[in-house]
Parts: sequence; C-alpha cells; structure tokens
Amino acid sequence: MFSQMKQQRPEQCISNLRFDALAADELDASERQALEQHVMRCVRCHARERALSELRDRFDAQERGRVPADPIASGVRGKPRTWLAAVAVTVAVAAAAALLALSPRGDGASAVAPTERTKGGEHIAFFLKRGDQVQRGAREQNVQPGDKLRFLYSAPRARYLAIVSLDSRHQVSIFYPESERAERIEPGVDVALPSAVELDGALGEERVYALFCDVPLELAGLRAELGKQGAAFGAPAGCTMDALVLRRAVGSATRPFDQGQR
Amino acid sequence: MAEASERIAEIYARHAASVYRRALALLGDDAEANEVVQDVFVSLLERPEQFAARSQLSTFLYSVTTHACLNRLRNQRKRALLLRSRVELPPAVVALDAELLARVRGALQRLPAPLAEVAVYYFVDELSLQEIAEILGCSRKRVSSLVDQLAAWGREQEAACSAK
Repeated sequence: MFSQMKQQRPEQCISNLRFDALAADELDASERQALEQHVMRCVRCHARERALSELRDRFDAQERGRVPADPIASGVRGKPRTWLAAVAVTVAVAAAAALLALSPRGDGASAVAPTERTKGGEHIAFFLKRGDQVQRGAREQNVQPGDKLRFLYSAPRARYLAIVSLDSRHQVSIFYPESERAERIEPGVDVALPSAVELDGALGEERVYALFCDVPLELAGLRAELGKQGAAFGAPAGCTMDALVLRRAVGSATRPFDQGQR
Repeated sequence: MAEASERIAEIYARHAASVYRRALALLGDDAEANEVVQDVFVSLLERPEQFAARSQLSTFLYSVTTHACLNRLRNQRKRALLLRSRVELPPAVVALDAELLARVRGALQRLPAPLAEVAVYYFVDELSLQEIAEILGCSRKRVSSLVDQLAAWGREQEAACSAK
C-alpha cells in the first residue's frame, strides 16, 4: 500500500480542491477564467466538473428533504445537523416563499429541456410550490398545472441572464426578465429572481433554457431564434446555457411531489 | 444572531456538499459522513476563530474534514464497520475504486498522523504537492519529503508481510 500507488490525475488537470473553490466562488477572476477555459477543452475535467455538480445537486436535494416542508411555520427543532441544514434551508425557502406571491403567466407556455449543466458553475434551479408545500425542483421535474415556480441562479461572475422556454406545442415563453433585454445579474449562489410563474393548463414537456451572456441579449431576437431552431436551439455567441425539463401532467390536487429523474 | 445564522447558512450552502463528499470517500458510510458534516459545521459555528482567514475556507475545511475522518477511522468501535464499507462514488470524483479505498482506510488507521493526512490528500484527493502544502501550512519540499516517507512506510509494511 502506497509504495506502488500513483496519482491518476494528470498534472495539468484541475484538482477537486480547485473545483470546490470554484463552486464556492473563492477564486479570483484570472484563476476562475483559466479553470473554465481548461474545463471547456479537457474531456476529463469536463466530466469531473459535471460529476461534482451532480453530487452537489444530490446533496442539496437530500438536505432540503430533511427539513419540514414549511420550516418557517413548523419551527426548527431536532438534532444539531437538522438545525444546521434548517438554517441553510430556511434562508433559501423563506426567500422563495416570500417571493412566491405569483403572477399567472399570460402566454400559456409550460416547460421542458435536456438537463445539460453549463461549464464553470453557471446554472439555474427553482423552487416548486404546490398548495402549501415548497420544495426544490429537480433538473427533470414532473409538474402539474397550477404549480408555482421561482427560479434561482448561480453564477461565479456578473452576467446578463434570460430564461426562456419551448413547450411541446413549440410555443416560446419568456420567464425572465419582464423587460426587452436580458437582465444583469451579480455573482452569487442560489440567488432568487424577483418574480415567479404559475403553470397554466398546457400539458406535455417544456424545455427551460437559461442563457448567461456577456451582453444584454435582445429577447425578441432570442424568442424568434428559439422558435425557429426548436429543440436544436444552441447558446448564442457570448452566452453559456443551462437547461431544465418540466414534464407537465394532470394530477389530483393532493398528489404529493414527484421529482421525476435527476 | 440573525447575521451569524445567515453567515453560517451561506457557508453551509457553499461547502457542505464538498465536506460530505470527502467524508463519504474516506469513511465509505453515509451516516458517518453526515455526522462528520455536522461535527465540522457545529465546530465552525462554536469556534469561528479557528479559521482566522489563514487560507481559503475550502482549504481550511479540507483540513478539518480530514482530521474528523481520521479520528473516526481510529475509533476502535467504528473501525470494523468502516473497514467493511463499500460505498461507490463516481470515478470522476474519486480515482480509487471501492476495493482500493477500503484498503486505504485500513492503512490510514495504522499510519502515523502526519503521514495519514498526506496519504489522504495525495492519493485519495489527488492534490498537488503545492496544494497539500497550502493545507498543511508548510513548504512544498516538506510535503515531498512526507510523500517519500509514505512510500517508505508502504515498503516496510510489504516487507513485514512477506516475512511472516
């Protein structure tokens, strides 16, 4: 043991420590950029980045599952671990619950998309509210008409963000922002966006695309391009893209959350 | 208090998954890994001065997590359980397969403390000598020497086994 063992990681590849620092937004701009560029051209590091991201998502989902559905109403009690998790989750869920004063969507789109996760840690997530229950949504999430979504973003640096969707009828919807151009966002982890949507009665699969761009993208052009390209839609130049899938089916009002595939 | 809670919540949100992942790799047991997460963050909450901004928080948490896991591996009551554990992590995350990880755990509980820590960083985490030096707060040369001592320890163990 140890006398014959060798490291498998090539010297030029990124260590888990650096990936962890990147995810925690601890790196300076030049180091972050160097890492992101390496990840884009290195198959091995790309796979590692994705595997680590998926593990983080799974851990986060488990954490959310450990605390009461409404930690504010239920109070926080239990062992220290539960308390720690609850502190973290309460902050996030409280923000989401406070902001889940929803305005119905007028355009009638629903959602779905391949669950590719962008390089460099830029991605979206969402809280899903059904009745008085709130949970964090999965990257492929089964939903029902009337469910309410509140999106969060994580970005290691300031970008311009737009969230759009393409439903099974090929209708395009703009989830964020409400203005005509992509909105500037500041660096952060799980930052809740200032508006939410309520899903209408349309059924089927809807792809939700989040575009993190260097410039404030015109949404009219984005809408037209997404409608034209459909499922083949790719990130415009200067943007990175994250994608989620919502599968909407009719369920009973009391049907519990069904996360679908992660 | 509200500010402290929010600060802890932020740190927890950013780092807990990493602490859990490393604890799971080192201990091979989900419940034990969860307890390490609890211990690490409760300790940070109770004694925030231990971080003291001497390095990035990630680097500090690697050190604290490693110590917490090594203590558990050396705990007589838990040793047998942990050495049987075979939890798989994606190969992209941990280079060693479950069988080899289990053997490494067995070796870690017999190694002198400084060498055990280096073994974790070098062979399980696959960190560079410079990164290990940052965590340990020593020179890269010192880390290189410790890796050499680790290999020598391994050869001694193999020789002892062959002699039996």
